[in-house]
Amino acid sequence: NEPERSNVPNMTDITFGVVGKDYVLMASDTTIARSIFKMKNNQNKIRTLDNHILMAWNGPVADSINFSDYIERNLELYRFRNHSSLSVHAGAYYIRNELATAIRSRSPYQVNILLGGVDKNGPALYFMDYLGSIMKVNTGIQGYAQHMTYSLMDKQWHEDMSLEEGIALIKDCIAEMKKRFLISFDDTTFQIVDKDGVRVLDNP
Amino acid sequence: GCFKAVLNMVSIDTKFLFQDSCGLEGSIDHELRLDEFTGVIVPIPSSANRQKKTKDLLNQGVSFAPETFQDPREPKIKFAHGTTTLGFTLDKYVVVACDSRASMGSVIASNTVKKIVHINDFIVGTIAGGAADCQYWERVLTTECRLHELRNDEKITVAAASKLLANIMYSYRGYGLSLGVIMAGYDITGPSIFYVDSDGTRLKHHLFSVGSGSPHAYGILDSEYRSDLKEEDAVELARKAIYHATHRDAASGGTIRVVVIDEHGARSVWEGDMNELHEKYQKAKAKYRSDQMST
Repeated sequence: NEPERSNVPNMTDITFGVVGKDYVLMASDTTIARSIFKMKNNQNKIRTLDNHILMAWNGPVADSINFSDYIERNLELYRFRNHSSLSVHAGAYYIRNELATAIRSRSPYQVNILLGGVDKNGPALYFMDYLGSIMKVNTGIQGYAQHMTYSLMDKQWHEDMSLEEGIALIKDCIAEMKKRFLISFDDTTFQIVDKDGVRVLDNP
Repeated sequence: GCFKAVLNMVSIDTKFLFQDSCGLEGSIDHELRLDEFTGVIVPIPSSANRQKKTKDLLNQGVSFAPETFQDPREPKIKFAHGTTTLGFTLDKYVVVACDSRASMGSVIASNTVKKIVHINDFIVGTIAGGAADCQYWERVLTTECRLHELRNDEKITVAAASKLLANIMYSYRGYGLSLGVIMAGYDITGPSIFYVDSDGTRLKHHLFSVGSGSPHAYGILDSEYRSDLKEEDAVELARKAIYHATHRDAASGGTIRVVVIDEHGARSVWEGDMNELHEKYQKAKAKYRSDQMST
């Protein structure tokens, strides 16, 4: 009987990530729920780390916010100490290490992560779960959305997608969720990272 | 030394109290000792059958983690949970309203609980969940906010105060605390409200309602809330929402209190019994219907 850590179920956050020609596009829903209620409907679940990495979190708010703050500040500390930022690959593995260390500690972080960034090696997207597993992927999905949209992603994704194609792919996935997923969600935020950094897409 | 003497004198009572409150009944006959380091009273299993008894002890849970603290279906310590609290921000001020009922199971423990805590002149917090936890930790927060003022020579913001509380709650995860606080205030960034939880959740939004009666309050609030309401309309909305929640939720009731916080500080604008409000609304409804029918 696993102890209940909070009222918020882990899987109903919806997050997508897609690797394109020279960018990584991420979208997530903006609802925070508490048992059967929506407490907030404009929460940005995609955190910007170090100006060139996007980290989308899924899970209970307390764990996710605390973990994101912790990672953000440690990456900044690295930058201050070493006069250069961690690469996306190194950053991803650092985060994975923190998750994996925490899993056997007194309080594991119940956060699933989708990490996207662009550096001199090109665009990269990493899928991490709260146990500390990590995979470099081209299309990343978290939560119940995995069941419903992996097939869509597999069908439509191809190498070197343009921005319009990437946006269309994620929009198709969102439409599928709105059609088939029992739990409704209102808005989604779209954020993109490319060689110029991170920005929000207001009307994708 | 002195504490030990006192403990020996009251050892029988504490034994019963301890067994009662922690659900360790009858099956193990053990003595109590005072752990000098933590100041916690712990049982000593007798040397015979030590392994079995230790295992039993561990299984019965001499700890405060939620899964071992007490059986949620038959709790020995019943927390006062029922409540309706709400808060919302308008353009230039915040309105906070609460009921005043504390219920323990099916008994109304009190109908005159003060659920709005004044943390300082510009910030208030509400109480929902475990009353003792809320009262204690909001008092701790009050001292921390005052220390912030003394150290930094500036008034603490609502964001900082709520983050202080959220961090404390996060560090006490697994100890069985139960808190659902709406922190409302006016600071240099304007009016704001935050929801802080015993899990460590901290959310910022323009409208929150917490407690067993919150679904009913949300119904009224969502249908009539606008960010440009005048103060008297906003107060009436808050009052009406709490009234409807107390009407439908058995665990909410008593007097309804409404507080407004603006640039001049927090002030209590209305306090009244929900039954009197009920009479007033019923009369108004009857009059409206009779007017309708006569036209």
